Amino acid sequence: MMKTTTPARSLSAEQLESLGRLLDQVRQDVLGDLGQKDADYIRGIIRKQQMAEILGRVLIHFSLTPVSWLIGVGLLSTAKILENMEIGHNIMHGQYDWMNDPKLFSQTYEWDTICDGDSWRKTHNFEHHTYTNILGMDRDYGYGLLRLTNTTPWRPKHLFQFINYFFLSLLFDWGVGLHELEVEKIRSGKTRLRDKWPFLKRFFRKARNQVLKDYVLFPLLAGPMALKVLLGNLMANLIRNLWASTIIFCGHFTEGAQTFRKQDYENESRGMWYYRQLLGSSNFTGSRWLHIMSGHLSFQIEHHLFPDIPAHRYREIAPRVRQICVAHGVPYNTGGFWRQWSTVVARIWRYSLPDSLFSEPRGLPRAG
Amino acid sequence: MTLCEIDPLFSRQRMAAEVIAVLDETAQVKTFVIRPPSRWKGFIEGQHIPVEVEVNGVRMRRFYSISSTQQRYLREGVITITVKHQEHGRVSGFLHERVRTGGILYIGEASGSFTLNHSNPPGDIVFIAAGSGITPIISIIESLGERQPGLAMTLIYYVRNSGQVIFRERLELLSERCHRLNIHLHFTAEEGRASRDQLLRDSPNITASAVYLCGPQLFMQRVIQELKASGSSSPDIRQEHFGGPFLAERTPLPAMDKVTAKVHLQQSGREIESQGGQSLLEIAESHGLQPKFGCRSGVCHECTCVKTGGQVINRLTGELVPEEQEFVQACISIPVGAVTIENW
Repeated sequence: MMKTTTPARSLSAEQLESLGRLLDQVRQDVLGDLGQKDADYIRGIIRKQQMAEILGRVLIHFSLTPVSWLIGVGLLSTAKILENMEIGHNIMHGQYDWMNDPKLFSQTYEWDTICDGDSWRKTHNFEHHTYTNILGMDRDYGYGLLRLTNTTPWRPKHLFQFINYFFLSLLFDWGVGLHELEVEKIRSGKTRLRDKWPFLKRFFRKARNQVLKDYVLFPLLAGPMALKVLLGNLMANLIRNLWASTIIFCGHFTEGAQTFRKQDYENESRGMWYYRQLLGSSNFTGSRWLHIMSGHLSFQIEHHLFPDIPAHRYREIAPRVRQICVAHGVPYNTGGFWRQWSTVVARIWRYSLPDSLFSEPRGLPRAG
Repeated sequence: MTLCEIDPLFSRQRMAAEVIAVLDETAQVKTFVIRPPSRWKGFIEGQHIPVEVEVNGVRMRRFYSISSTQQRYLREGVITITVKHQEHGRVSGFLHERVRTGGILYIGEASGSFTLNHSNPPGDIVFIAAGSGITPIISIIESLGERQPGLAMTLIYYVRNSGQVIFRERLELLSERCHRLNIHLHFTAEEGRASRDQLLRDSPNITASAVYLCGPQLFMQRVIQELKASGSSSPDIRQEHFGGPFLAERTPLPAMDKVTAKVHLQQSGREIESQGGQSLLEIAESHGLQPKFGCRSGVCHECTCVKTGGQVINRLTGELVPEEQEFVQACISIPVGAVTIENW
């Protein structure tokens, strides 16, 4: 059963202190070792991503058969996934700021999605990564759309949250782009639409550019074949959306990923912050390409401990992190991709129903 | 294509210059003859250019004086920089060991005010250089010598020993061509440091002359002291300082709450003194600025700013952040000494 826990209660002060110290050491070890291979890695991924994008767009434009068109869609989807997840998301976290390369600078990078870079940096880097899984503070927890824990009171509308989940996944880039609007707060009267005007201006500008690029400019370039290009680009964006949302949902909404209360954040030490990140995140295992295509969010635990360490390093530090967890009796939530995702689906389904139906945790598989 | 718009504020012009030749001046000094791209705006003798190289994945920038003349740039389209291989110097080491003829150096526009002042009284120009401080001076002298071969000039040049003389041939050529150029070479290993008697012997009229001084900070301080002590009128001195020890090598770090700093915010044109180990973010806020911030604990990078000069301590680790690190998290960065923030 998923429960809201207080981190400080379950580990002693000494344990938290040692947890913080050991994890800080892991961090320092990687930072001290950053160098040419990390620079080569990210530039290599960028080159591959650009090749995939060019090839994909060319194939979509000039293909004469549905097969080559589909390959083009596949390549463009791959390029967009790589750009959003392994390149954009990670660069904007400051993972490559140490290179002093203005093109890889966290604060000015702009990515190929609806969400404006500044808006993402605020809602994701700051709010989500600072207040991870604190209900009422981390708006990524259910995105104001989904009920994922029994601390959110059940309403009849939650019966249909699976439909919400489907559409959120399909239109994920628009959902993420509008995240800062805080629709749920506007609806409940906590904020006013007019206060969101500066955000909306930025949103409209970015969204306009994206729509013009994928749905006007490139189709028009294809002349009479415009529809084929428009459809190809639409498909690529939708595939990217489904993929990104699935990966991201596996990061915090799996069975066993815990939530927290606002008071847990007060006077939180570094050790306690690490502890909350550990309890609130979950990994999944897989091949090297799965890690890269997930932007290494398959190592969500390591990512939440060290959001600004180059993500391709998470794989090598994961065993150390797990060892530290074991030594401190902290659960390390991991499993195969399908298993982790199935617990997400089960969770969304479980909490769409009133809690009275589940007096005991019988509706869910137990965590391993 | 990927939308990779970069705020022009942060983008530095990246101009590739081809390396035409690499010349050995002394055992530790090399001259790089490079051809700047056509959009490079040119220079005045005495100015320096930023040179950017990537060492172990980190882009690093250093300023080097141009050691050639405008005339040569107009004739051949090339300029030269002359670089001493500093002990532990990563950029100078890279330039010496990795850069070959046919390679590429990334440079920027020339800048600097260590140039000839045309309102100087003609005929009384004294140049004083130490070590690689000769680099901007040789270009000024060569240029003057080409335009006004009869001009009276004095060059007082300090090096440790005869093996350390940079531009020996060019200096000999100059003294042949310019009959009123007096060159005084001093070997500090034999003669000791610069003194007022020596300066007055080399240039009796020095206190009434325009003086161009270039070398290490301590050398220049000493020369200025000696000059001030030697005459009633204070001489007209222009100076350019070269090199400088890194903080980490100079002294052990003070305790974090004892750290003092002088922060220059370039965009808002402010100069702020701080003490007590305040972070860059706290310093800016206490002076009415409102930079963007988020977690205030080193997680989110929302407050990351562009540091173009000086050093900071990471509050979380208590350690000095490598000097070349330009993008620093303001909430956990405690400035030490003189620090420049470009985008605040």
